[in-house]
Amino acid sequence: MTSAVDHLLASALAGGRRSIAVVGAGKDVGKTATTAALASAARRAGHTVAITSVGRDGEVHDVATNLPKPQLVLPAGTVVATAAALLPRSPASEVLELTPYRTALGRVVIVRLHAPTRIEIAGPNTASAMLELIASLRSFADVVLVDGAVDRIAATARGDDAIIVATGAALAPTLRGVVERTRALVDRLSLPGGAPPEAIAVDGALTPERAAELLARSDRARGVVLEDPLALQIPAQTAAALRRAGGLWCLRALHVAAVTVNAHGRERDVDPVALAEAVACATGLPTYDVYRNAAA
Amino acid sequence: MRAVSALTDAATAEEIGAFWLERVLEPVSSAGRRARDARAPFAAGEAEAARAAIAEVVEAAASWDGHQVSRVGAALRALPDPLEALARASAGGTLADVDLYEVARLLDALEALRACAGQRPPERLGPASFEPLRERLAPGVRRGGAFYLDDAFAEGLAQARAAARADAEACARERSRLRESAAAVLGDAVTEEREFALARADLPAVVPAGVRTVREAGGYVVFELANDERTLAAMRARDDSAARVAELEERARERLSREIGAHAPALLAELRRAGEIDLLRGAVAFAQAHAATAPQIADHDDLAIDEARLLPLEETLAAHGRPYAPISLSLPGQAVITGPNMGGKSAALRTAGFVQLCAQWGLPVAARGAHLRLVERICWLGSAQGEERADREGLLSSFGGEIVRLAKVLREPHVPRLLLIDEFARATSPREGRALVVALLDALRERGELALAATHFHGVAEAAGVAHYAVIGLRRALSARSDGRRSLEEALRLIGESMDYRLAPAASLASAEGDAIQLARLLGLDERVTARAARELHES
Repeated sequence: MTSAVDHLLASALAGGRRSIAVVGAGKDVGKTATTAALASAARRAGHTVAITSVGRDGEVHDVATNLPKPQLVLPAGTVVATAAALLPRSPASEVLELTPYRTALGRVVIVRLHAPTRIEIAGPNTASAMLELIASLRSFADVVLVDGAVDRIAATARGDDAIIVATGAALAPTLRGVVERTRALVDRLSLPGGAPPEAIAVDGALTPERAAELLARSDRARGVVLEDPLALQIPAQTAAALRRAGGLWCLRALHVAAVTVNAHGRERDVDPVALAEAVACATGLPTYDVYRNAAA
Repeated sequence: MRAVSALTDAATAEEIGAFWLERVLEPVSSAGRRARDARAPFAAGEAEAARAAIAEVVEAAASWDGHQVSRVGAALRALPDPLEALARASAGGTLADVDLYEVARLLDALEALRACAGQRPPERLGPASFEPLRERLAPGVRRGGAFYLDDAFAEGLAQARAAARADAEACARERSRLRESAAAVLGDAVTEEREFALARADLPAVVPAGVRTVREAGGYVVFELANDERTLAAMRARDDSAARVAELEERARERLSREIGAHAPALLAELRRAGEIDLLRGAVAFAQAHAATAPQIADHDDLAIDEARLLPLEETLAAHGRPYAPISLSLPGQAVITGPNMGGKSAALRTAGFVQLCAQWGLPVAARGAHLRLVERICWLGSAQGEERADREGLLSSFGGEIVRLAKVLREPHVPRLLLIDEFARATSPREGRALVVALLDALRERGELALAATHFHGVAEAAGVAHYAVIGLRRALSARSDGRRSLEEALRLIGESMDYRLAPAASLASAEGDAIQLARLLGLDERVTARAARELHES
């Protein structure tokens, strides 16, 4: 039986991609649940899976709020890169590599699980270390899953990685707010590549002040090209104005493959079907609810 | 070696190439870096030890070929550094699997080092064998050096793991049974792995007994599977067998840790030896790359160098395609070097310092030969360093800064040292500057200091009664080729080709007067200015 999560995995791996980055639009939006569901789906599809995180994930309680968090229980055969201090003593796992990358919890170690294991994951915090770690994980697994905060993931992801955006009711007080913020994030991450040679190159962040200067230029029809989507730090309306004026591109384009939704927030819930459909409509991306095992 | 040490301060280290040498000798392993940090330069009175250290490098450089040096380097680079794990095991602690992995890799790396170093390292560095311990850990070593706490490490572990797997599968089957039962009523959303949500509109009239409500929202309900007695029994069995596995795994770690702890002192000593081999590797590579030779070190002799090379400068010149002229000089206590600008006076001082530096750190020197005594300090005094000025945020002039630094050096307790004095007092009035340099050299002669001074002042050596060397130069050749406009690069090339940088006793050479004006002309100064300067020089 092919489930919605299997479709989610298939859409992420389309085109021969081997790395999937799961980014949370905020806290408590189901990022860990999405990662766990993808890991299970990959295993069902016969893939060897490697998992790591930019920063810490999979902890029992949120380190900031001390509230319970979903657990990451990974099956035997999964390859995990995490801080050595977080490695459970039992069941023993096979130590594949002690990397030079350090976290607040010690060096990052790559292990292969020999039995189902409940595990916390804390990978390196820097983009360069994460890029090297992902390359290393690819030598041990067919599919590499990385989760973490959006800016950190976006800094490490490349066009040959698939990005899945996890969003949910915890993001904003209203369904409309959740949808708007999710669309803004997806728009930002989806900044296209392929800028024409005459486009105006902007080094560093594109702030509202710089955007205003660009819009006032007589040659604004040349369009604007940024280093990467992270450099886009302007309101959606200003970005739209730049697009209309000449175009807006980036040199390191990312590939946002899908969105997952979590209708449950700590303070309020929203209708899951309505949320999934609204997000799908706003972003134009395949949208899944891993809690309902359903697509929008 | 460390560029800044009791032997050389930062300013001196910068001038005499100590930072370059530190970079060239950089160890490739953590053990090597620790050995480097623990090592100090040889002091005055340690001539015998310094000679032995240098002989060891020279001997190894003669017996190791380049391939072997590379292999030793590669083995050292792969050397892990499980100091903390060894210390913990030594104190009776139980190691984690990551620690066991590192110790297993350490044993493999030491064996690789043993294999490639063979009998070649000096006897004191001969790597020991840890084969019994290596064999003990071997069952855990997997392809590519990975490590797993193998079944063989504890009696009953294989059976316990098999039972745990069977119990986990039985438990999973029970959960699957629950899921299938619930899914028959509730559909695909049901999963045994986590909570699942169902829209109220999709809920059946009666929710099956196998699920329980986690929370409810207006439009949907979140459920999870409810374990029945069969499932709970399977879970208890699973947890019990997992606990049994954990107990046996920990017992295996304890036993392995005890065995590693018993070897820990020897392994730590072996790591120290590996660090020493790393330092030797660096010294051998240096000696081989630069055809370095053992200097003669005596307790009472002065400094003499024959065709010595200042390697950082040689490297820079080579990068610009320019030749390097080795320096020879004999320093019988104190000496003065004079010569034209850009003739290499400062380079001669630096070369003497560089040779002394190498010998003090137990290295052969880049020279055809050298004769020296060990000193406690090498001090650079002169125009190129601006430490005092920087320290005082510009309150002192360059002359003031020089004087403060000199006064400080002269106030220090009298220990054997090499003073390299570069154009001292050049920033004050020539007459008083000359008088100060004469007086300084006179004082150094009386104190028996080893000192080499470069200066433009006339008659300093004779007035102070010390030896006088001059850069030979090639003034006629420079004069004949100094006409016309040239790029700076071209001018530097011409100067390089025209200048004879060798030193000779000054009495054997003609006056170098007029060189500065010719150099100024070659470097592009207005012809009217240089012509007027030449007339002024001639008339005076």
